[in-house]
Amino acid sequence: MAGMDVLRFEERDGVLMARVVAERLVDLPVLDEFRDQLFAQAGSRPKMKLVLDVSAVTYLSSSALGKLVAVFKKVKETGGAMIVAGLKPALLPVFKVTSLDKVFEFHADPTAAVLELQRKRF
Amino acid sequence: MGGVSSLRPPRRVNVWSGRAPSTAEVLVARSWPSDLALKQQMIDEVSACLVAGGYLESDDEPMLCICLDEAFANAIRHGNRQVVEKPVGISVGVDRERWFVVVDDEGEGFDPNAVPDPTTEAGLMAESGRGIRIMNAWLDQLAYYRDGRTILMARRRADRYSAPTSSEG
Repeated sequence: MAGMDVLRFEERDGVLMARVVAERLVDLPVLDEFRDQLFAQAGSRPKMKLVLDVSAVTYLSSSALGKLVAVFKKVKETGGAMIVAGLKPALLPVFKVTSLDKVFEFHADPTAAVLELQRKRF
Repeated sequence: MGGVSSLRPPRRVNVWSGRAPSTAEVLVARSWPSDLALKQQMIDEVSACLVAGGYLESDDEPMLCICLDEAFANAIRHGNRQVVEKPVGISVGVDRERWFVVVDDEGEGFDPNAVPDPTTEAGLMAESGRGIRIMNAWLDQLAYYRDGRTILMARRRADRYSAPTSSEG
């Protein structure tokens, strides 16, 4: 599935901004690509600082939540931190009912999330 | 209506041994091949039907689509094992108070109550198993029939329900 347009990456002073360009995080090929690209980024980054900008996402499946958990665990393995930014309010219930709102850190504004991670020391 | 306040604590999922009850008015009923490539088309058709009829508020569309995606993906992938010739039956209808979607597959069925709780300490870090939890929280009724091969999803009709206004504002 190489070449699938799922994520755009941007380096911002030690923080990796990964912007999800897929509107629907639903289908397995898209989700596998999503995970694989982020795993590849984590592979070369000790103490990875990741802002996952999901502002374009209109809906996601429970499988997408599973991939987010996988990426979160990978980032933690590097000793780093991850913020989910720009989540549409209509999607927050999905995180609340699965208690993932207690696992992930959220920020409404992706740029502010980058600044927050830039300030973070490990 | 689509916000956090619309969620309730998850309930135990009802499992019935018989067929789904007869319905008041069926809006759409058709069979689809078990092809994941058609899943989005299936979701769009059901969603458009409920929105166009005024039974669903557009704010609730994301949650509806999430629930439909779970049900259709489960029927195709786990129920019919992606055997294209095996049909997935989808019926959409309304009764006096609710809209409903019934999904049938030809698989072996399953016990929804055997799915581990994804909100336990171990479950939180699991990479699957959240679909029923999400559906159960948003829908007013989530019931399984035919040993798990038929799923009924129902929620109050938007045209019969007015969101309560706050007395504080």
